Amino acid sequence: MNKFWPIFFMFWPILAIVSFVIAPGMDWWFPGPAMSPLGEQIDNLFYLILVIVAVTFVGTHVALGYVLWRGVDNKDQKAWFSHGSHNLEILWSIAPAGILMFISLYQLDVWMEFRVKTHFPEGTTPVAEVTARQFEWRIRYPAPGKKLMTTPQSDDLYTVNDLHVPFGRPVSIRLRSMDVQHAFFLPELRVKQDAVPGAVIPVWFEASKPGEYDLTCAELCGWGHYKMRGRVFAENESGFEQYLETLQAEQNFDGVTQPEHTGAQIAEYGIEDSQ
Amino acid sequence: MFVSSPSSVTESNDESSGEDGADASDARTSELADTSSGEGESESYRVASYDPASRLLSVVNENGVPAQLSVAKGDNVQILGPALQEGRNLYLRHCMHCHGVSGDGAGPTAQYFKVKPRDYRQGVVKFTSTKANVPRPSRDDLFRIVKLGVPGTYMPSFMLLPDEEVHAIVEYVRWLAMRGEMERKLNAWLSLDYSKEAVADMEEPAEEIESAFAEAWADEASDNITQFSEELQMDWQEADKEENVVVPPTERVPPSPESIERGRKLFQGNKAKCASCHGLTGKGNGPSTESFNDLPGQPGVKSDKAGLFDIWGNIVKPRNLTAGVFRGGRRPIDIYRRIHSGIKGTPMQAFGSTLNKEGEIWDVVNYVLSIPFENKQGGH
Repeated sequence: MNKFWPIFFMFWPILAIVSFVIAPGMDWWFPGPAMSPLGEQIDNLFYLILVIVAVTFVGTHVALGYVLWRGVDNKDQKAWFSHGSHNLEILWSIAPAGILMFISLYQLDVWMEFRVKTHFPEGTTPVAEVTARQFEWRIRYPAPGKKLMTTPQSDDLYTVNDLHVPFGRPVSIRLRSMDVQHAFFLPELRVKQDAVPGAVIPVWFEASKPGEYDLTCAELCGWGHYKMRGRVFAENESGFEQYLETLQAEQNFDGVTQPEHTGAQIAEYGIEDSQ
Repeated sequence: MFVSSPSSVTESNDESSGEDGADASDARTSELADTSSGEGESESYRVASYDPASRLLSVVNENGVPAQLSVAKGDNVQILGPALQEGRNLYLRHCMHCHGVSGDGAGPTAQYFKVKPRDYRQGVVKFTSTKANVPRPSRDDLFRIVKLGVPGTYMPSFMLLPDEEVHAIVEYVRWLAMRGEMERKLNAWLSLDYSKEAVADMEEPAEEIESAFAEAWADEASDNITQFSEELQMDWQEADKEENVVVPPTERVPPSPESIERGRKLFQGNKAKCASCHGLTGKGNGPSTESFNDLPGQPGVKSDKAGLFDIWGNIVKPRNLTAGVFRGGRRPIDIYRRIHSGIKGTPMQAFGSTLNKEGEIWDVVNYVLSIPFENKQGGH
């Protein structure tokens, strides 16, 4: 029974090590592997911090366990009373400060690349304007082959909750909010950016693989917050162009010249189902 | 219970449409699937009764005569009840907050909205593809609205809900609308003889009034209910017919400066008088927004507030067309249909017969779509 506390305190660092080792394989930390190059760097930063924290946590617990273990049978020797030690105080002020300073300097590159417009990767193309609104994402694309302008153009294309982008190259969106604060969150791509009313915030990302990614709102924006579910659809260049052309055909539909549902926005609801 | 159309059984060979039903429906339909059937056509019946204990369903045909369902293996029998049940669950989760439990547009959040959620109970919605004389929306119209939302209002898009779920919601919304209409029709009928005022004026003792009422009900209710539900069924079925969708006779006139100019003249001129509500520059501030109008449903009773009313009793502003936000959709066909058949339930009339020369509506469409960019183009 005397050994209960040393064993108790040693149990936690062992559990911590086990879970640190198996967690990445089990996707406990993230919703799957990062699907963007910057996301990989962000994950690496996470793991760096995790290692620092884990070493500290395990180290202090091993020390605690060792002290307790030794103290169980030690009835004679008096403990060393360290309270008020000037040297120790300096040591454990400077050591964490140094670690924090290291982390803050080490992550600057990633931070700048992600957030500072002048450090965006070369060739980042604005593809769309995304306007958050209770409770949806309204999207405005330029017409195929045109550049995204800051003000609406007569040939712009509009859709909602369904953002298509090309994969394999950096693209950016102009993020706006029409009412309250929202956050543009792509968990698989490790992108999260608040949308602030009155501000236009450029957000860039690069999907490294084609596919469908979740777009959610990460800022509690009202009772219908959960409804702000969108998707980002990353496809190849020709697929993306084709999407814009389909959207354009659909948006210019005059009831006569083209089939009504071309599939870009909503699936067909056949008239024969309606009878 | 009174509404016939959604509780009818539709039998069709279409594989995809039958997926809506929940497990319960599979259990029910499998019983029906034992009998034999003809091929290729789709028939519908009304559910006369359903006994949950024996799981036996009896149906009647359009004339109320008991019918024999002949179904072969592989046929698809669709009972719209389970779809309604699923629609109800989805409606309560996603829609009820604003549109209310009964579809009266007065859910808990509605009070905070400047643009009120639609009250379905008159069976009227604003943005339809149907002709002016078809009072109801098609399933397609409701589906589009749920999927794409209504920009400029609080109605968000439900784009990522699976299509089947949106279909279920559409069925349930139609059901709520029919229920509301049925209640209004019954109410109107009973109010002929038994309105509060009429009863107050009666001199007979209460028991006699009650028994007279019971007698009248026993005599006429069944016929009236049948008649009302037939009216409902006809109205809603009309809306889903292909021939009742507004299709322009000609393709869109290219939005050339000349066409836009012709459209502007129509917009501001005396033929269409768009400007009387929408204003000369399309800002939605035309003179009739300042006039005093009759209250909705009460001809001759002037409102003490200036402005235009919709049938739900709200003051509606004519759309500010300079903002470039089009609630019913921004496709040329959407604007065309707004002009051609009007916006139902609102003072926006149907101009399909006024603007009857070839291409006139398209000219107005081209002008309307150009309004948000007028200054930037250095034009008119």
